[in-house]
Amino acid sequence: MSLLEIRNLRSVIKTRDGEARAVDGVDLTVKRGEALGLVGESGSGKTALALSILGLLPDGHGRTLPGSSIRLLGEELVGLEKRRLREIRGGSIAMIFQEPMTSLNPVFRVGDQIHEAVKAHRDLGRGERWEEVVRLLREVGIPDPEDRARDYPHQFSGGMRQRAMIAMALAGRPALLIADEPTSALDVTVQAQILELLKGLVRKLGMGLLLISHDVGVVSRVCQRVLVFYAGRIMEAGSTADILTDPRHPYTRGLLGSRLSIKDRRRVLRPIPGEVPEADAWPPGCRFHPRCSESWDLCAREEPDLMEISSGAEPERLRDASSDPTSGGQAAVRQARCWLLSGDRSRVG
Amino acid sequence: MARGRWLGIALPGLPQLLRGKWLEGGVALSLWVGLLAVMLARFDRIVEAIQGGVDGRVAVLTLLLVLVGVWVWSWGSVREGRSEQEAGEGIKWGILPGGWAAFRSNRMALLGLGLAISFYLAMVLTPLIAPFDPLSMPAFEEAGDMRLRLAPPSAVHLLGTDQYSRDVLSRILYGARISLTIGFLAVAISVTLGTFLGAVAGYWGGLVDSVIMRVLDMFMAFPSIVLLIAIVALFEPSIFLVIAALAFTQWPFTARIVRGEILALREREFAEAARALGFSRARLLLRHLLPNAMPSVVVVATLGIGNAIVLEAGLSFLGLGVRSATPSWGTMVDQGRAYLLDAWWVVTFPGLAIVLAVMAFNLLGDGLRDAMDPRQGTRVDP
Amino acid sequence: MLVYAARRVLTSVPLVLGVATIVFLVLALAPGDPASVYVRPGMSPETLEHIRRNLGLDAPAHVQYGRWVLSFFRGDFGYSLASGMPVRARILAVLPNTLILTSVSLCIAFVTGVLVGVVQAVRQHSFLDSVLSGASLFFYSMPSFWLAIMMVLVFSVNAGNAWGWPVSFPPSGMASDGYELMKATDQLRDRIHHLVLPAFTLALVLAGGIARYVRSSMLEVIRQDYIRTARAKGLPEWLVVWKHALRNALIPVVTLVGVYFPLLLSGTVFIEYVFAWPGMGRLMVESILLEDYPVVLAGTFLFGGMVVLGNLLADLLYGIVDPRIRHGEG
Repeated sequence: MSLLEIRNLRSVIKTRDGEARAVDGVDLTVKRGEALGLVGESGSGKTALALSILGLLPDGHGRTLPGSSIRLLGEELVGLEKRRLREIRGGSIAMIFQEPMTSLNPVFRVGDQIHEAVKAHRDLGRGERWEEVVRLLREVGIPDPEDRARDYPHQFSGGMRQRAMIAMALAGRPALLIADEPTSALDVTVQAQILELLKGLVRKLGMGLLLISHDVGVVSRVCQRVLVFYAGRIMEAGSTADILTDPRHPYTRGLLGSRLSIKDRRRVLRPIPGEVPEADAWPPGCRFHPRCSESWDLCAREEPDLMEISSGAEPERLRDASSDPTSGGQAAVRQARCWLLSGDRSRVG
Repeated sequence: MARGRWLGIALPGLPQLLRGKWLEGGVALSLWVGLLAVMLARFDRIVEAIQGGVDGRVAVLTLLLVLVGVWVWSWGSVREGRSEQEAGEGIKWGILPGGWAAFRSNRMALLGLGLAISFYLAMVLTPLIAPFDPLSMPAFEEAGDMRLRLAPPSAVHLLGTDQYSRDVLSRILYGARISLTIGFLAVAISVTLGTFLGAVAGYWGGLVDSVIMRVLDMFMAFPSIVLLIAIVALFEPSIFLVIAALAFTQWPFTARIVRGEILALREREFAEAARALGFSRARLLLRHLLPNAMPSVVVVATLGIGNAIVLEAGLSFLGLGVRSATPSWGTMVDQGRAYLLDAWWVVTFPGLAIVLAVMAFNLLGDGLRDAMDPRQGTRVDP
Repeated sequence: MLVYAARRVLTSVPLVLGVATIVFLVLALAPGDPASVYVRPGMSPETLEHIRRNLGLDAPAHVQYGRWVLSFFRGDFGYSLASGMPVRARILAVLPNTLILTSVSLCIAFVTGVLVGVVQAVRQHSFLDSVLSGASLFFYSMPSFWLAIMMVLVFSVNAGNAWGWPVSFPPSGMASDGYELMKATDQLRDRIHHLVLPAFTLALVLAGGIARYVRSSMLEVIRQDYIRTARAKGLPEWLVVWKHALRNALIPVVTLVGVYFPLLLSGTVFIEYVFAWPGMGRLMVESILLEDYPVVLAGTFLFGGMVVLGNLLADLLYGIVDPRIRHGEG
């Protein structure tokens, strides 16, 4: 059994003109001890996806539609009763966010905030709890943890704050950690440290990790598999190595082409033209087609399914109902949602 | 459409109502019907008023103007028909960035506006609509009925009578003139003074700013009523004193807001651009910075009117306010205190009038403030 | 923190001086000789001498100002025209009563306002929210003297007799007859009994404004990331609201109390007058009616001083409550 199985997740965000489908039919699986990356631009709906898992979409601002399924070790989370959901939050699944500056409560000491999490999810005596707080801080690499636990968040640097957040997330010994842009607000050197920390923790604790970022580089450092997310759907999936060296979907290629790299000194920056469409106004047909340089008529008319592709051999559609790019046990499974990559040449013609 | 037009001639506001434009239609129709009723029921008064003093003439003039205005507006809007919707909402409320639309959707603010306008309209039309002379004491006239003293609310005296058998409703109507006029004038002066000082402080900065701010802090350290009491006690009592004293104690509130706005605006891009173009400092201040600060000033002024009304009522209540034949609402409360348990209406209704008037301005001010606030509420970033 | 506190205290001193200056200005600008305000035929020569010397009333303007301000700082406010007693004595006799009234009112107003504000924020846009908003606005727009009279009408002893209410409170005064003869516990009960109406009335005037502010502060705070983190930690909603959110939302509210101080004291004047509570407010009004100007001037100065002190206390409290100030940087 996988750690996390998501099937047909659809979540909506409330806008002035109604409800917008920020997440529109997503399947994914995270296995124990696996680090899965989710890459997408701002506005693609990836944060909504992350929040949906724990039911954290703010009441009145968003909700997960029925028909979605999110299973943690077999337990269905969608529509779960409040008390059990709270046990899972911070307990079996923990989440860290983008802005460590504002994600910690400024009026409570860091140690107290971690202690709160420990108290909520672990069965330890008083003294043991405080020892655990110190131990957690040490584990994430904060020096002098006994002293620092008594500090307030504003007395920590950005990187240390994020470490503290990770410590707080680990307090409940989660089986799965969701990290939503954990490094985007940090300096580059600190970014590397945090990513290494995450990588190490995944290995050491056998945790599952869902790492979400707009930066492919960040994801590639830590994760074995990558999902490319756009306009509420998965556009391409594959192992990190495959995606980086041989991106197939035009969007993925565009993403990688718009990255800066020391090595590409002479190459021109090639941004993807256009903007991410608003969540309540997905274009017809393939959602990427307006910005795609290789689109055909079919792309504008009909939306492709997520199809399995493999390098070289005949591309073929998946036969079973699930289009989950991460099931099946092979990290090498590649999928893409693009007519150009499908085997049905006659339709593209 | 022709039928609508004919309807519009006879009953302005009705066609708009029928078309679903509740707000405009409702207001126009009620104004029309109400004022017509006044005209018909009080025709004799109108004749009297025209021959009487300025007071009466102004009232009649206003009555006619509003009637004509409503009619003309209705006629015009019926004629435009559908195109009016596309052409926008008519008056361009340029000073509200959120726009008339934002203000209009705020029902509380509209209620406040409606109440405020009603108050001022009633104030002007008082000679025509007040049921009795506020000074007349029927109980003390020949063959007067002593039972008319402290009479509870009835069909004749809608809000009862006071200890001198004077009609409470009429006194409230006439009293509105004092309270509302003083409120308005005091705020006009204090806002002007405050804007000037605040703009100077915000724009010139440095020593000038520090000095003005210190003075401001000193003034704001006094509970308004306390300083007012002291001033009124030491100077010659008169209506001018009350207005001046109110202005003197209230200017800091406006000044502080204006200073803040000017400070913020000073550093914005368009100010930089204007400076780069070589505008003189005064021109920059007057033509560019101040107009942008105006929305905030309007909010402060509106809320300030409510505040001034309460303060004036308080002064009158203590016996320190304007002394005149027609009483201020505060004075009415003071005079009625002795009879509180026997005739609760003498104290209650004037007080309610104060509350309603202040609520109107508070609602209006809050609504204006919300209309200016560009924030639309939370959005979860995807 | 110490630096912050020291700085706040230091800025308060010139403010008090400024308050005294403004009072002096009002006195000087008024028609008539400033000296005439302080003297009255029939005063003993020693009193006249004292006044002339300490308040500098027949010296050139700047000397007058200096002496006058100095004596005010020393607490010498001249002699009351109505009673002949030193003004200071009169004031000291009634000041504690005002302090009792204002502190009790402030506590009630604060607790009520916070409760209402939090409930409104948590249940935003609900019917309850609208009702409470309306009520807040209603009380906030009300002149305090009228509210006081209405309270007397409905809740006081006399009303109790007239209407047959089961519950009633004394409409005036601070103590019943025979107070001196009561036992200590009875005395306390009697005092509280008299305190109820004025304190609640004063509190109502403030609570509306506090509730509005708490509501908007809470709405801001609830949107913050750290609240989302608290929920993600699996904490129950009540804990998130009443511990994590409220603690942050209250920080600006503390300074609000400072801003509301003048309003509180304004209300005190009327409340004390209507309920005949023997405090500084009532003294002010009485003195005006008696044309006892030395008391009026001293009262004005003291009220201003109290506001400055109140603001100072609020700012110091703010420094304690916000750990970012308490512990400075790193």
